[in-house]
Amino acid sequence: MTANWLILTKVHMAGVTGINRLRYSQNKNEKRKSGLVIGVCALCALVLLAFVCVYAVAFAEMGLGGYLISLSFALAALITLTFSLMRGAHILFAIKDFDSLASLPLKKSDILISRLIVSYLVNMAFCAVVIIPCAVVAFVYNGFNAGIAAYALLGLLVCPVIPLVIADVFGTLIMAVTMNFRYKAVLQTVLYAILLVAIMACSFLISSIGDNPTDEIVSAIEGIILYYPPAWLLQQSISGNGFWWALVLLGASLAVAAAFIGVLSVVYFKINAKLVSNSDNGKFDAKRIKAGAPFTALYKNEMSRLVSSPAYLLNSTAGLILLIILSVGTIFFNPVDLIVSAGDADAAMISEIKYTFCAVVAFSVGLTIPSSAALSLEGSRRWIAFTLPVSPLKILLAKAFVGLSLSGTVGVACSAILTITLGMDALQACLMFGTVISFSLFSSFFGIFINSKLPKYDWTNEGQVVKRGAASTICTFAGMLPPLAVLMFGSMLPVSIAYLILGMDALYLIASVICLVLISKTKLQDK
Amino acid sequence: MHNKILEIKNFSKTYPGGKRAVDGLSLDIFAGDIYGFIGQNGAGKTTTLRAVSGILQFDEGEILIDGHSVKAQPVLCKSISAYIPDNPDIYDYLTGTQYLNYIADIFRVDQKTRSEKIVKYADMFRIRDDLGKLVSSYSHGMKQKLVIISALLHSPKLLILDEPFVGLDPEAAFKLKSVFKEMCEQGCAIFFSTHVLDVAEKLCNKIAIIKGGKLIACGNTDEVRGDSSLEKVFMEVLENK
Repeated sequence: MTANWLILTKVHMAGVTGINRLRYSQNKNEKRKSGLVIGVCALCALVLLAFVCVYAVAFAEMGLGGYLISLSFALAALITLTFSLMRGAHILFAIKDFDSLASLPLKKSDILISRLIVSYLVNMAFCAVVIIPCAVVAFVYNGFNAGIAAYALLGLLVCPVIPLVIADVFGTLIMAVTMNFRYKAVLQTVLYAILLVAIMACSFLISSIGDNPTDEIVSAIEGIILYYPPAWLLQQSISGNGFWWALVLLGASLAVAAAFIGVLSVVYFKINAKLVSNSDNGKFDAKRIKAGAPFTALYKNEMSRLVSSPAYLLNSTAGLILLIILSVGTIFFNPVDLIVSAGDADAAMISEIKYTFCAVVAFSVGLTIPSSAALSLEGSRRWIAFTLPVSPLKILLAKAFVGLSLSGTVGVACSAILTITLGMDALQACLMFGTVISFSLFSSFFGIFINSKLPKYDWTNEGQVVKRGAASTICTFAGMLPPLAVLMFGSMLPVSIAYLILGMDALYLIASVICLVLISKTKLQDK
Repeated sequence: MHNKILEIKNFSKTYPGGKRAVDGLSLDIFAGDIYGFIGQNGAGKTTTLRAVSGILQFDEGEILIDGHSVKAQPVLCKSISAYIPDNPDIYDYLTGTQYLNYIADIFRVDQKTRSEKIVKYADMFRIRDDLGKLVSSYSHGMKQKLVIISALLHSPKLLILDEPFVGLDPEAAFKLKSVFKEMCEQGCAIFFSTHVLDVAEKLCNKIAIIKGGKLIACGNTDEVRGDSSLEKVFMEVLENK
């Protein structure tokens, strides 16, 4: 007889991966859409693979091949932790099918195991894209070793476990602390944001601590491995100090996971029931019945939607949070001043560095994509939007304007700070603000346009559309890749980065206008 | 002379994948009609109602609301009609008042009218004290009542409802029927689907029976029923292949 947790895992995986839909749907459009999603994911994996290979080779060339596997292990774990925190604990709590699961003769641990396994498999796939190429590069430079290959495989299998448990522990605590508050979504978002900033700060501090102060890169790597115990354990075995360290790593990972499931099982139903059955003591006040304009009503509703969901809010504004931290950070640690005081750069190089910040701003604003999931999040409530006596253009623009107002205001404010702290001249400042405008417009209009073409209404968990939806994936890469390419490769080209950024801004502005025209021709109906 | 509020001409709908849910359906609804739409599960009732309310795309046939095409003038048609689904899934992050304000703003209902109607219908359905609470704290029946109130704020000419009595307590169901009658006396029309044949028989002056996507019978309730009960007629229709 099949174990219940395995039955639940299969059903959950079918929903998350869309395999069932691909197999049994008689709708050719749906099959095409599934194929497109798979294609986009494959492309993203290839891009990430290339990126990892470039850096792995660079490290190996510096003689750091012996650290590659454990370094990739640590970095993959950090990214898993960060993205799992951004996802929130919503694969575990306040799930739509909670009622039906709770009514079945299932152990709480079965429900938890099935949810966590799916999350583990998805994250392991990501870890594989990071760890495997690093292992291959390490073997190419240092020669193949079966023992090290075995440790690398073990590392790959256990890599996501501890970060997932840590993220879910914090997620559970946040859920438990906020479950009695009326505006729990906003509170949860603030707590998650604080947590993410703390993790980023710790990562930065750890990477600046090391035993080799004269060589900054080696120092950073040693710091990362030293202060992340699982990576340190793995490195001990890889360095030839015996296989016991790897066994300890395996045992510790399994023990942590088992302990988490055991403890959470005790309070799981209580927290879920509290989250799902909201009681509210709000009183009726006739004075709150106020007339307003239709577009304002649409916009306010959309904004309420955004702030009501931590997963949606956090994932949509992560770029802006990073930008705020960066721009405020330059008040205290001005990179231009540091470079000038080191005496390493001339005026032309300093100018290029300042232009580079335009690409950083573009990257952050380009990641602000609430509109890419706005239509999908209507879900089973889309009948409301589809029956309103307003044009589809107004409805879609209201959704796009939420992202535009956020990225526009925060982007402009942060650009103003950067302009002052970095001492930008008029041309640099104009390019900075122009970048904010073009990327804000693009991420908003492109996002809602793509979502109108690739909507996903039958989600059971917001993460399915906010993080893993086809539209949000496409928009993330469309907003992220060009600025990233400019940052990574811009200095290698014979032209100034300023021209690259100018060209990029012009392209994105034109694309925004095209998206706006296409949005105006969109119908909002089920097929 | 009665005005034709809803005209469905040869409406057909085939879903992607090949399922022909409705085939050549035609019917007319006049001002003052309470029109019951009955059929088995999967007969095509919801498909028809969703097409009339503008939610569902369709290529075959024509649907006119007060003489305006749902395809050519969707915004105008939506402004003079209201749709209430069978599952009242609404924005649970808003309070009841916020949701009603939202709908009233879109339909451009003025301050005085919306205040009067909200208070009137909230008292009628006994949810006035709950309007300040988040919709997430509402039961199914409370959400249903809220959706009904939101549909009445802009005084629609055509009210389209999918299984409206499911989830309503007996008092609310009684009140809803009285609202229907009041609206029809004012020249509006009601078009709703139901499985409760007893309600259809007592409330509706006209009935349409749909089976396998095709209209089997339609007309005055007395004519459709004949000398027997609506239940017997319905069962005979089902047995005839």
